[in-house]
Amino acid sequence: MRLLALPTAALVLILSIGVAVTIGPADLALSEVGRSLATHLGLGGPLGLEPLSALRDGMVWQLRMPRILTAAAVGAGLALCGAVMQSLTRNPLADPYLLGLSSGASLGAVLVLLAGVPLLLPVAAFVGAVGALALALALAGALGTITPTRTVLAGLAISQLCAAAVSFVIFWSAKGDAFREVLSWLMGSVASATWTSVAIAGGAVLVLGTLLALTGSVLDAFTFGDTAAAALGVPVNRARWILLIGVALLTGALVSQSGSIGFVGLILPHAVRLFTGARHRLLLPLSALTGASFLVWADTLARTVFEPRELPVGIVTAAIGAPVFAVLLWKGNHR
Amino acid sequence: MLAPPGGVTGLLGPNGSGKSTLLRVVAGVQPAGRAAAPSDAANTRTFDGADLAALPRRERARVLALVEQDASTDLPLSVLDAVLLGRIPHRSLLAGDSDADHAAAHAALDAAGAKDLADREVGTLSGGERQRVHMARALAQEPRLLLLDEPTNHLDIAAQLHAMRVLRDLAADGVTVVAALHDLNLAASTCDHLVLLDRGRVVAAGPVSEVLVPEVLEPVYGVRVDVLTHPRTGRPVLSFDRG
Repeated sequence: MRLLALPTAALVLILSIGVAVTIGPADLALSEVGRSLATHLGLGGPLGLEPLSALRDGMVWQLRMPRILTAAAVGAGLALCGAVMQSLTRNPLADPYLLGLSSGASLGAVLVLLAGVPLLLPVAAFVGAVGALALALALAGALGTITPTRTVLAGLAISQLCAAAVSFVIFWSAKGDAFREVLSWLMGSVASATWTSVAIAGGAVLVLGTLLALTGSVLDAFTFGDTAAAALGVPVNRARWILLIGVALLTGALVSQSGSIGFVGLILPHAVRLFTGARHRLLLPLSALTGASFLVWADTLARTVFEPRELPVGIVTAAIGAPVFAVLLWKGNHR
Repeated sequence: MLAPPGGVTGLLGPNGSGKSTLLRVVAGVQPAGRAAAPSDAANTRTFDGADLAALPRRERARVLALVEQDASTDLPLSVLDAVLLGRIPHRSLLAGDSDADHAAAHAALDAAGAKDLADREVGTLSGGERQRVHMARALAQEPRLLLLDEPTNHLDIAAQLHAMRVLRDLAADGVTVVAALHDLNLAASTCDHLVLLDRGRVVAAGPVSEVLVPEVLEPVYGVRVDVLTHPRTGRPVLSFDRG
């Protein structure tokens, strides 16, 4: 059964993406989606397919596809980073934003939004995220080896500091539309995704995500703590630095495209662990695939439930995530 | 300090005398420099003619295994998966578990008397069962030198005797066993060789009959010791009072 888990999850993701594209203010048929994709991939001619009308093709290729693929990439990356962070810090409450990444990104984003240069937003968010990480790691590392507790506490300190700065900046200067824009960014959204977002988020997931997903054995070794990992021949401190930096770069790339979307990185790894157990070889890729499908559907809900108004997808993930988390806790107690 | 190959060596000493530190330094999980305690540590790290400290980590993890005190996890982990962790030094970091790894894990469970626990979840085990699983995990590393930090801590008497029995069987198979122990009578009944630490120094090392004598123990522990002889086994039995 476990052998089939990955192909099944991959199939579910592909179908989810296909079906999600058809859902929206104007309904499209699955066949139209296929035709549009084939045309853009240069297969339309050889297969003898008729291209869609420019309007309907634009809906598939320019509006929905980039948004859905970005959601998939962000969901995959967050779930994967969440699983890695939870194992690396031995803390079940850890998520990808633990090291102050989301607050750092928010600070960068809020500054450029209020300064009226929204084009710089992804860059500012990424710089903010990586800056916060550097501060958190410097703080944790200044005390010697970066133990799980130090990592968590340093991340918390930097997080709170950045959050205070964000609140201050908003309180001092935001009004009207800028405020709305800031708020929507803070709650996480893939509404403005373009093919550039797909390239950045998707590229980061493919490169960094694949590397992280291959570290299963190293993370396994941390199961019983640092000493046990060292006794199994793992260079504990070096491994932790490398993995934390990998997680931070990936999360920084994601957060620059989507803002911080909560609960995906926290809940998905726990849900997948119920099926795979605590070992990482299957947990990591399966978390990524289910995280991708989850965020595709959460975003589909976000843009359709209150049509024509849109919700920030962060609200949907929290609304689904919190009850699911409660159920997981309850099941965990009754196993 | 000498731990005879293929024997069970007990590491004794009062709280804070450096037993755990010595084990951790020998295991290479803590640098010797920072260890305020055993000044002898630097001289104790050769095994089978090889300098353990000079071995690459992974190679060292194939020679030597460490069973810590109170290792635990909050994650849902099956016993078999926990024991398979011991195979990490034996395979490439990218590879999954091979049939050989599963065979070694089952053999280790068998040797630790934990065969029936394989499908249980680690979090649901009793203290004694969990200790067997940790021993099995160390044995899955197929070590020639096994270090244990108070393997009988918090165990009931049957579980204590079971753990010591496992160590004796391992020694009979040629594994060199070094265990930090608090219970001097347990050490008296099972060890071949004893090392007594006091404030970071080795104060006595040798066969059981030479170390477990009042002249050696009384100044270290600050209690009065009477050594009796067990009527059936002929091994020493210790009785203490505050003197």
